Amino acid sequence: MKEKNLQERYQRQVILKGFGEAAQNSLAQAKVLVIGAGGLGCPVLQYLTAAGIGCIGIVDDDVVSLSNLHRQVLYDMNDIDKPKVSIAAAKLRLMNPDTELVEYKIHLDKNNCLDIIRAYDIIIDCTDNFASRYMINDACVLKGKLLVHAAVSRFEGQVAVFNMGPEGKQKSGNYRDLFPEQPGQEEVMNCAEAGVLGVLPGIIGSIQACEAIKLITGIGEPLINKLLTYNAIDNRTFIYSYPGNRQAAAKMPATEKDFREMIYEEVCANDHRFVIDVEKFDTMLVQKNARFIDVREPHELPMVTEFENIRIPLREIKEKINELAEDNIIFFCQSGVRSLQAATIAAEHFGDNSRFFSLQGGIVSWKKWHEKQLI
Amino acid sequence: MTVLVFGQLEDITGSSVITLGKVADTELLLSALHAQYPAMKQKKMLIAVDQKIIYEKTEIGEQAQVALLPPFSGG
Repeated sequence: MKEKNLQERYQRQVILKGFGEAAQNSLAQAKVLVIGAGGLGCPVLQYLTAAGIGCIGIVDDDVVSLSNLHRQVLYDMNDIDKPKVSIAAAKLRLMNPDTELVEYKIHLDKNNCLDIIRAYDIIIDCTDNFASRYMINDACVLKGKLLVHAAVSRFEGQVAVFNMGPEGKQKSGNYRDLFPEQPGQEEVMNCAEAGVLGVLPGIIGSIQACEAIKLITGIGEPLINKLLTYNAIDNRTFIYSYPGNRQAAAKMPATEKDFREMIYEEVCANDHRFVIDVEKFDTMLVQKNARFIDVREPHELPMVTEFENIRIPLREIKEKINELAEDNIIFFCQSGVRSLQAATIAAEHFGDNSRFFSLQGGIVSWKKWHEKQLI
Repeated sequence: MTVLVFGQLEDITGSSVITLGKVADTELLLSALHAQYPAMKQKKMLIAVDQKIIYEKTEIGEQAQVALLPPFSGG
């Protein structure tokens, strides 16, 4: 590390009691992989780069969109439709040229995951779905990698550190010890569905970055076998403990070969029997042989004025189920999660799988698709 | 007994804090919750008693702090 950096760039943290040059040198030698460059990923990347981590890998296959900007503070208006990974890396290089940034503009899957995480000391999960979260956890357990986990919902966040321990020895608890059952994709709403306060992932991602720095430098007490919860509404923070090393290992792939054969996308939205894509949706619109039900809450935007529809929020579906006794029914919502739940509820109620449908990707995808058609 | 409710479970309970009659252990707690909020049966969540997440039947003392914690997926 350049002497000037120790004396100037990192001076405010190097002078901290219990930190010093040794800790700063540990950061300079560390290799950290950040998976997901969204709401959590942005603050994690910014603080880790600023702190002087030697090498940071960034994994994301998405592009910047306008609805990202209220919380993904690395990006600006000029970045819309551009790949997050390259924009993030370019901005971070300006911030700290000493940090090597490795760009992975790919979708992490069970075939590339193990090879990518192999080269890193600490993995930071900033993803937005359970399939990725369980896959990353299992890969880290197989490869003996430290994993810093965080997740957000509306005004709340959770943070935990998994898989701590000396090489070859029993490690601390992991995601499967904490949450043994992987929820189906439709069970918990993601940020697109449930919403998220813009600053919230900033707070939670900053805690996540701090945990990574603590792990690398050996300072403080990381959240080992503990789950931190934070609620922005009342600022209440709790730390819950959980017993590590339970029997959840039974669901874990035992070998790398088993890992590649795991099915993480438990409910695959593409082949689900109720799911229809935008084109099929439009065909049914033209044929006028279905009724269209918006299952979002009354205040949710965007408004849908392009075709006739009625709004029955998901939580009212059961009490208004008799309104669905006839016709083909096509449910839609923001991103396709709640509408799939609505279709499942209705099909179960009427014992009829043939006339209930859910718009894949929700009204957001539908509007985007039509905007593209106009161009 | 008061129970803290986290995340989207609040959509089911209508509040982040709910009050239940006294229950002796976590199995009876689940029965009471399912009776009052049937939609909770389908939800994956952890139960914490006195800030310890528990996975086996556990006694709940009179003054115990109970919390229901679902996993979050957002990032």
